[in-house]
Amino acid sequence: MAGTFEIDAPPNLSNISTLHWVNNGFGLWTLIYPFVDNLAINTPFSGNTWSLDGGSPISFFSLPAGFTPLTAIAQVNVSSVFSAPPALVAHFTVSIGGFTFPLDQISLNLALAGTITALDLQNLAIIINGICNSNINQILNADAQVSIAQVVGTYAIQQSSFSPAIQNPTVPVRTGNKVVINSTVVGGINNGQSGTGLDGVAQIRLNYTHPIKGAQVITLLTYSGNQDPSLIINGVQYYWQDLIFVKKPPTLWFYLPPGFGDYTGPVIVTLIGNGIQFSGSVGVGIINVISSDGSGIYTLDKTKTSDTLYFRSGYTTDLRQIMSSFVEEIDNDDNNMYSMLSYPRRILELSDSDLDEDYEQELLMMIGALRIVVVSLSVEIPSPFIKTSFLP
Amino acid sequence: MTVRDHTGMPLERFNGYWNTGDIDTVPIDHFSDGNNIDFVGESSFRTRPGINISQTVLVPLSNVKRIYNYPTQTANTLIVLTYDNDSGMGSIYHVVNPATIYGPLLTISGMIDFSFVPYAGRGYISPFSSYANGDLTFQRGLQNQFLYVYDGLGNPARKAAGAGISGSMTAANGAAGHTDPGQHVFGFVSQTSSGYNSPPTLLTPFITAAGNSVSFGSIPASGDPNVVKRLLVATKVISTYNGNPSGYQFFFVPNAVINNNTDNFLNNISFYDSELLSDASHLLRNYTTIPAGAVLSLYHNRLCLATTYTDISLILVSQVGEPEAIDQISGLIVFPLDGNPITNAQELRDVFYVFKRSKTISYVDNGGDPSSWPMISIDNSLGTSVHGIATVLDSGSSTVDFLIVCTYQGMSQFNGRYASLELSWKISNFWSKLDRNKFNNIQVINAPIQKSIYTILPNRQLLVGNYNNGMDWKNIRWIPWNFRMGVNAIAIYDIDQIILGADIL
Repeated sequence: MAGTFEIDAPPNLSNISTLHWVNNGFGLWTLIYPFVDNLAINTPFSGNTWSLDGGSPISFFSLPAGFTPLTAIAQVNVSSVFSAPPALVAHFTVSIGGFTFPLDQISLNLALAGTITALDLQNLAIIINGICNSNINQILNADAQVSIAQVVGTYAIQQSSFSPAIQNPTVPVRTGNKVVINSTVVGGINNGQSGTGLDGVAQIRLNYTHPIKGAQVITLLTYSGNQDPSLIINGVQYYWQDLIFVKKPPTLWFYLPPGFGDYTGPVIVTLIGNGIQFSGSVGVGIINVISSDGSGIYTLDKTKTSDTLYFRSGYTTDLRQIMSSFVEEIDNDDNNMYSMLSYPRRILELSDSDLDEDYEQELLMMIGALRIVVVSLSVEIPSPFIKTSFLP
Repeated sequence: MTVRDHTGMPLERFNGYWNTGDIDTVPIDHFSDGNNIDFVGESSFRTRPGINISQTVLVPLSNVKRIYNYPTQTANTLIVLTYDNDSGMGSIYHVVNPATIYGPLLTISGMIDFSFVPYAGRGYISPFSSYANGDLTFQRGLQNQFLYVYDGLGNPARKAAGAGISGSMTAANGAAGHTDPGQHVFGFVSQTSSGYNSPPTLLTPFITAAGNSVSFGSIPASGDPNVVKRLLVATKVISTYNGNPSGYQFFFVPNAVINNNTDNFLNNISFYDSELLSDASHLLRNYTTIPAGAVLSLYHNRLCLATTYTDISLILVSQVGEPEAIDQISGLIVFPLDGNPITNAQELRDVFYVFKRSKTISYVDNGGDPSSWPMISIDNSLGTSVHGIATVLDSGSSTVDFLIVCTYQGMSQFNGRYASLELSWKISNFWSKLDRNKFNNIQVINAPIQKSIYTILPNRQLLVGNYNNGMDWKNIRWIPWNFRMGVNAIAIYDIDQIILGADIL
């Protein structure tokens, strides 16, 4: 089965893509909105942006099993508007899929040796860079507006009986929790092979959109050479042993790795095949990750058979007594800033009488202060194991 | 042959992880892979011990980037760097015990690491960061930053050293007394709570009379709130005064001290030139602010700081017993330039060893100025990283008679030369895969009670080397440990308590 597909950014995309430039008076032009050198539109194709064979819009997760893009051309129309004077010149370049091209060249063939997956297309980011060259000391507003952002191409449906799904997808998970993937239909893609396809998983990709950092991806590599498996967090590889366990058949399970930082929200789970049992990517579903910042100071404890971690989640409000004129006091005396700390801090230089004198009751007031709740969390020690040598 | 006829092969010893050469060559008493196990006795193993949270305070420190031991006058404590990923600010705290924490003592933008040396109960802190130089990432002192001193009592850290008192004073004949009559120049040296003596300032020419003492008035207070004393300095009689008050040799005048930073007078000081024995002239050449460096160490009771932002091959060496007094001329040593920064420095058996990433040299105190110390090249292929020398208990230095040094080749014993084979020879494939540009993340401790070496690796694993059966490449037993969170700092506390630091990944 084959056909055409189209991914269209939602109409409101242009509303967030205006760049305003202003001359700083020294021949340099500065973006005054969005206060950065370029404008990145992360995951412009989120939502019901996919259309197969001219049909109704569907989401990435509604694509049929085995959906494999064969060709793909990205198109981005960026119109520019310059307020004045016309002698000034501004250029915009657009980056998409890791390639940069000038404003007047707005389409890019993404069909690069079949390496583009449906997930790659879903996660395409558009970056608009503005370069404004002039040494004239005049005000200029130059806007760049994205009017069209789409990907068109052809696809095929690879024959498959591989239907993996996350066990208990509604139960939130945090770093260190086990995520179990079941494949309920027996039978590999290649006729005659047994198994569920899970034994052919080469990578597990975890995609999410951080509210500040934008699109993020964590890749768990089940096979990565001599120190397998390893973990790639936003492009940086860590050899992080034994986060992944492949059981054949019918489940694959792994510990949710670190790397999510302070993120809480949905994470897309996708399996990438090794090209033998199956090829390309297979969407598994969504897990809901809870931020679990486990950073801090720990001690090794010979009496413990599990790891007890810090677990930071949620906020609470503390009541705190402060001086009503504390802003002025901070200016005059750095030591007073310690009164704002939420943990005990010695007052070193004031005797009791000094306290009475300097902190009179009428100067004190109560305020509420937000604090992250920190509790401890016991987790099992990750997979102690040994492999013996090659025995004769 | 049937299964019934098979002869069992008992595995009686488990000597840890082996990862060198081909996997088929792993000896039968070693592991071809392993994780999170601990060695028991001579030949057994079990699951590694668990970890526990270290702080019981309401808001424990998070995103910990570096931990050092900090032995104060009264306790064994920790000094800890945290980093706020959103604001880009690094903050240093003093963790006195699980329930008591002071700080932040110091908060600096871009401080992702720091070097630290405890000295006489105080702590000397030097913020540094990583910089790219082509494909190489190296560490040097943070730009426009300084060496700081912390008093160990919870007060904010302050810049080490300091400028002299500004302003002017008056000098006049005092009550009946004695001086060598003639032209002198007088001045004051301010002394901070950490014992640092500033350069002499308030230099005032005055002709003394034989039968009179000297009195000083309108003496300004120092603007530095840490000044606790002001000491009078004077020249001997100048036969021909050339008008330049700072062009002469100054001496501390005995018993001429203002023991506070408030009084504006010092009256009736009598002295003879023959009593002027303690030289203060070198103070004129001292740094008044000391630039931050990536390396801090102690040698012969001198503070040594290296790898500043502007000079990656320079070592600043203080006066003996005065860690903040660094002469800008005679206190400097230049490591031969080769484009690589100095990464570490350590005293061993009375010799001062200085390391770059792949080079080791030594200096020996010859009793003269540091700039005159002879240099000896030790090894032109092996060196280490900024935290690549194992600390022992709370000493921050060598064990009995050797250092344990992490080189690109592996982990080696160093006793003036690198031992061959290196301790980590059995896992050389594993070691060689570590990212060299992240060797600055390696931090090592040697725990003699546990007979183990604990090493934080660039990939946030903890590599454990158990030397219960002997500390040599053959008998040491290696195994990596993993944790749910990334461990990136380590320290040892109260003799045998292992402390781990984890950041947000």
